[in-house]
Amino acid sequence: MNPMNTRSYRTFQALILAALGIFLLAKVMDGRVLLYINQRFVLLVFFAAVGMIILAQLALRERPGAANMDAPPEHAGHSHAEAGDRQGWVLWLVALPVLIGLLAPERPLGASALSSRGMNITSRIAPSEVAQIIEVPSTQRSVLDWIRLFGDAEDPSIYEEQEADVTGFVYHDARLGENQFMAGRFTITCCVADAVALGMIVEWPAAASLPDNQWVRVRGPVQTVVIEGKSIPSILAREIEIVPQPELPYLFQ
Amino acid sequence: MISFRKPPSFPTTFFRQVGRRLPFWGTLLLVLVAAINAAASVLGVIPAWAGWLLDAVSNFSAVFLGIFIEAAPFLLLGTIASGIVEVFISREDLARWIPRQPLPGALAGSLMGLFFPVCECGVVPFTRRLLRKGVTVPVAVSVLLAAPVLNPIVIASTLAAFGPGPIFWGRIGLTLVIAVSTGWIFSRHGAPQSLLREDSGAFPLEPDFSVKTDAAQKPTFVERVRQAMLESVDEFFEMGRFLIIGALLAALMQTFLSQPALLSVGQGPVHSVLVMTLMAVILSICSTVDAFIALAFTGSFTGGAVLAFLVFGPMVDIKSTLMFLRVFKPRVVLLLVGLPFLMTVTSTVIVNLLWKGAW
Repeated sequence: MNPMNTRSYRTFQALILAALGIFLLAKVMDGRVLLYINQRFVLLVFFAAVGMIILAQLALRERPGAANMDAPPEHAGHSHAEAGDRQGWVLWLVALPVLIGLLAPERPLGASALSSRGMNITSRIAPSEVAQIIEVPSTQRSVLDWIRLFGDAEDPSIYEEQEADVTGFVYHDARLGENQFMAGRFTITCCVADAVALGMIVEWPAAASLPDNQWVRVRGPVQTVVIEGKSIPSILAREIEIVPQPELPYLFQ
Repeated sequence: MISFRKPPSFPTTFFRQVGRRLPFWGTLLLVLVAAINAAASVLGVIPAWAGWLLDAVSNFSAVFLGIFIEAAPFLLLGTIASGIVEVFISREDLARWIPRQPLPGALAGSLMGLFFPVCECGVVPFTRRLLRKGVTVPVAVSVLLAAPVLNPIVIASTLAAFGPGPIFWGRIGLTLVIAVSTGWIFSRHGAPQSLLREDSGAFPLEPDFSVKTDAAQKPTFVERVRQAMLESVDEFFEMGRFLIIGALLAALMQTFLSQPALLSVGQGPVHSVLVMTLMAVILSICSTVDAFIALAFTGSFTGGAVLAFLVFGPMVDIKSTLMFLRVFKPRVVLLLVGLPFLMTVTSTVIVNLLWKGAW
């Protein structure tokens, strides 16, 4: 592959940058960006997308003139993209996020990712305003809320018998018994790369009949289970409802 | 015809060889997966191998796009910071601010992040710009290693996660010590400028450049801003491809490497440190939030190991190391990774041995 001439390289650069910008902008607009990053970074991604589009049109306008002619010496310091760097595969590589975004199946992490990522049962998570979680009615607390409450409490038994109503995916952890499964959620601090699976243990006689990765809504009183010396919440399920995957499958820390 | 050009070095040739084939095979694979996915949604049932493939590819692409979408704005911010240096800061300013002696110079470099909050995705373009403005290589090395931790955003997030305890102060102190000493070690080299890649675009511009453009046609402010923006396009592509290769590698490892298995071998004062430094490299998470991730490991790992994760991760992860290759010669990158690694491991193992179970 020979180095391209400067003009066509710049044209492709501008087009790819614009494609990246539009791709990100589309993800932000339809909310699917939340399948990849924590909501607190969305505004940043939005500005980056707009910035890319602005840069792209600037780059398109400023292309050196005639085709098939290498650029005349450009302005001071503006020539560090060496001829050797101006190759098709470099452009393809930068376009790759758009290609993957369009062609690869878009599915959030689920139980299938647990074989490489594992499920956290007893680890500490970032501190937060536990006082605020207590204010929330018990049936509106998420898996993450419950785990936080239990992690923070001196004596978690004060939460026992409170009614829980949580949604998560089914995961049969090897550490659990036959009548138990985990209602899991992936939590994201920054982006999917740091996704950590958390889960509440659910007591349900027919646990074995629920397949991994099936999303369920679990209702029932909260109990305390002690694993590895730590008190963690579990639910004595009264009712289990099969539900579709929530629009926002991740919980954000 | 005799060529006087030096043959390209190993990573360059390797990248070119792999790179030439990548577009074809990569696109083919992606189209294939898209076809299988379409077939699966039409037919409803699919063979097990196809299900496994779709799971692997969708997990892989979720992690890859996660890292890219998260990192792209920060890379762009890094090129903007580099543009600001270009337009607003002159060589004279920098020469005045940064002491000439090796040790104070390295210290000044390490603290640069306090004024330019760049994380590890943005620090490479930023540092390259400083080099072009005449900053010496040892000082640049200190900037490279320290800025992703010693900046207001990261300090605040570490404080939020751990409070003002031993982990917080340990992270700041160790980073400073390692960055300053690595910078100082680089200053012992006779000709530090020769450590840069010849095509790194990091050499100070010839002094007469400014003279030429100076008198009659000194570029206006608007012209300089426009110029800096145009350069950031090139910079985004140059650094972006290393970022993307790094994100690909990290996503591959996260898809196929078992983290629970890795973590289960990570007990004891030495093993835990080694495993956590490896985790830092694999996860490749942004230094602005890695403190919250580290918190999840505090229960099951030694304090020294968590400290190693927080100190080494921002200095060296897959994507930043690949970006180093754009600026430094490969052997130098080895040193840039190896020295902080040795220092982090040694110091955190000592920490583990001295303060057993006091976390």
